Amino acid sequence: MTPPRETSLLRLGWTFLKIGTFGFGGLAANLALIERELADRQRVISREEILEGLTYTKLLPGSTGVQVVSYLGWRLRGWPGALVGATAFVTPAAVAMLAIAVLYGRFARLPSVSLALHGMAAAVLGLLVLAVWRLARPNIADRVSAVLAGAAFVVGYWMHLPAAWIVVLGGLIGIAIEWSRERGAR
Amino acid sequence: MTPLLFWRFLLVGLLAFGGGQAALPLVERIAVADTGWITPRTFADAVAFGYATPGPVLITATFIGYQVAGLLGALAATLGVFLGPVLLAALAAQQVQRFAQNRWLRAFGRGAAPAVVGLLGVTLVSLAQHTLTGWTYAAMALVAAALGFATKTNPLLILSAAALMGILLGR
Repeated sequence: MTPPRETSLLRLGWTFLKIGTFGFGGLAANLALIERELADRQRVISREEILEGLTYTKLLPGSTGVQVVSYLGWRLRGWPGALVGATAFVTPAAVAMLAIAVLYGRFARLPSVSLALHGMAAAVLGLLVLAVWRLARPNIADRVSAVLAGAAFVVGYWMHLPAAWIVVLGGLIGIAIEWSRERGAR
Repeated sequence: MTPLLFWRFLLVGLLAFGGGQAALPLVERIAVADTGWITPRTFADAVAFGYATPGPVLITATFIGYQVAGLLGALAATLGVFLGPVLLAALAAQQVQRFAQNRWLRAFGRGAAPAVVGLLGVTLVSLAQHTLTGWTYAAMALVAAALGFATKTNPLLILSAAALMGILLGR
């Protein structure tokens, strides 16, 4: 829509590599870093455009942080910008995770490491409860969505239907509802 | 195994309505429940590392890919889980209103997102069964949720404290 603006691909990649290295603590922390670096310091993109990117990518499936990066990368340097930006953003986390995976294979069974991991797993459960709450608030707005969520739980827990099917089925029900609304409006 | 990892994680990425955390139940289903690639405890550890590292939580895919098929597996899973969403986001930037605001895509999302919430509940229950083996662990989960809810404590901090507590309480 808007033509890509002036910043080099190299600088773009370097910027997102830095953000990907220091973006601890989830989406909000990463967005704050993106705003500070691209809107305040380099002034290549406005805060409004970043917010716009967040709004649109939230409608799409996938990891929102990486998607905002891809969105802004495209705005700045077209397709190469999107791919270089997203790759640079993910690389530090992937490298850290690989290192952890290698260490995990060696040390996870040591008694003290195993205890520490068990503690972390308990905390993860708490963080996931939060995730359910945060996802439920905007996405379960009426009776239909509440029933869908309940049905997904029941089908997933007791009937062991593959998760991908359940999500696609939910999506198709959403489309069916929209379609019947369209017919009803006529 | 490597192509299978790629395809499965590609699917996870494309069905993650609601963001990275929304995809965790899909990851749990394909890596633990459907395939037995990793144990529930290893999955919980993988998610913990996903929170503890910078960037997206879904980097959990890198860890799982490595456990299943080594370095190539890690690469395949990582590429798979991010490729679809990254392309979609760039496409959205290219034709802003027409694509992301497409009526049918949004209708699909409106049905898929609640289903994802329900599935996250399933993941929660099955993780709880393998993790909350004593009241101390249940208390730690509660404290973690309360801290995250009431304050903006960095997850990395919460996880580090929990690891320390785990060692101290486990003795």
